[in-house]
Amino acid sequence: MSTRRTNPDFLNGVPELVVLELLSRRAMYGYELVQAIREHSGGELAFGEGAVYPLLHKLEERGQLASRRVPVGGRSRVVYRVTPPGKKRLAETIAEWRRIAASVQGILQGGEHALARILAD
Amino acid sequence: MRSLAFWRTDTNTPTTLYAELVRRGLPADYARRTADELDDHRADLIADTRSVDAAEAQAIADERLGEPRQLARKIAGDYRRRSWFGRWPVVSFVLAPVPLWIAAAAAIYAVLHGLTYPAHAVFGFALEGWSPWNRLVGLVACAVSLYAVVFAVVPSILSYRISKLALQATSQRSWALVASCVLAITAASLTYEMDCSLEPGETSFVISSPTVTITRFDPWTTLSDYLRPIALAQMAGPLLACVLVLRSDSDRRRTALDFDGQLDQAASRAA
Repeated sequence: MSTRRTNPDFLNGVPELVVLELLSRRAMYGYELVQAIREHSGGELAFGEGAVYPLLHKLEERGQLASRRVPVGGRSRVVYRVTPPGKKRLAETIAEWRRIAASVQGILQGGEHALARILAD
Repeated sequence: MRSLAFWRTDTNTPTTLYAELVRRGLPADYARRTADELDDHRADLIADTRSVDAAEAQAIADERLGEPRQLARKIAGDYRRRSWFGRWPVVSFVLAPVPLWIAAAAAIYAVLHGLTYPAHAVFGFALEGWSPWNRLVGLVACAVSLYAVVFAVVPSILSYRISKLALQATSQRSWALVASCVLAITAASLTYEMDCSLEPGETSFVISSPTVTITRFDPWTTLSDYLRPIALAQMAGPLLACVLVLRSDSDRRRTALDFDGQLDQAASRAA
């Protein structure tokens, strides 16, 4: 995964979070998922075209995703969807992300008021 | 008909993503599935570039996906990092085999040592009526059997299992070979003393606990220690076990690549 063609260490875990979130909204195949990530992030986050598939396979092996080949537009595609364990993992990851983001934001903005405002959101 | 166009690059670099993944040791079914999905992805890329001609669209798609060898390298790397052993190969296949083998040898030796006392009580008594030559043969047979189990069979089995694990976790034959060499050298570092007595009225044999031979850092002394016939025999088992595993893996890869070639021939005939 890349943002402006770099992959800083603090983005570890972000691809998994993003993939699970988007697939929890609707099932998608790989190309569709890569397009959705680019579109929903406003172009800030972009997967390498072939890089999404090892992640999808890894999540499927963990039982967090399920796949099947279905006809799409005259061809067949392997479509992925989130499983109940995947939804659970997504919820945990989101909570952890929000906690970390709030902590960092609090440090950047300084003071308890900013932290309380963000946590209330 | 399913498109196989993506599975081959231009004629200047005759390779396919599937073949590159298999050559990197990935399972054939995983390699085929990944290549299929990337073939679909490429078709979608081509379909989305509507404003250019077909050849240019294919070139753009190939550029965005990357050259098969580079793509295969990245996919194989991600595949290896799936498991803990794949993420920590040095710990798993260089450091861990040493204490693992020592613990296994100690456990086996303790069990066998515990069995020799009742065996001695039974056979020792029975051997009293044997001729000296028969007693000697019996003792040597027992000693060789114990030696073979502890110092040959156990490290060979360990080497076989660890080599298979290394291939499964890392898909790299080098780690299987490294683990087996570590086991072989560790096995050859363990020595034991055997003492037998054939005095009239007394028949006994004693095998001392295995001791690790730690040679001072002298290349010639170390080399001579490991070139002893017994040391070479102790090293042979683990290395042969690894060779068997690697040969089986080579056969698997060759079969998978041959199947890929048959698919290409079928596609050419259909076209």
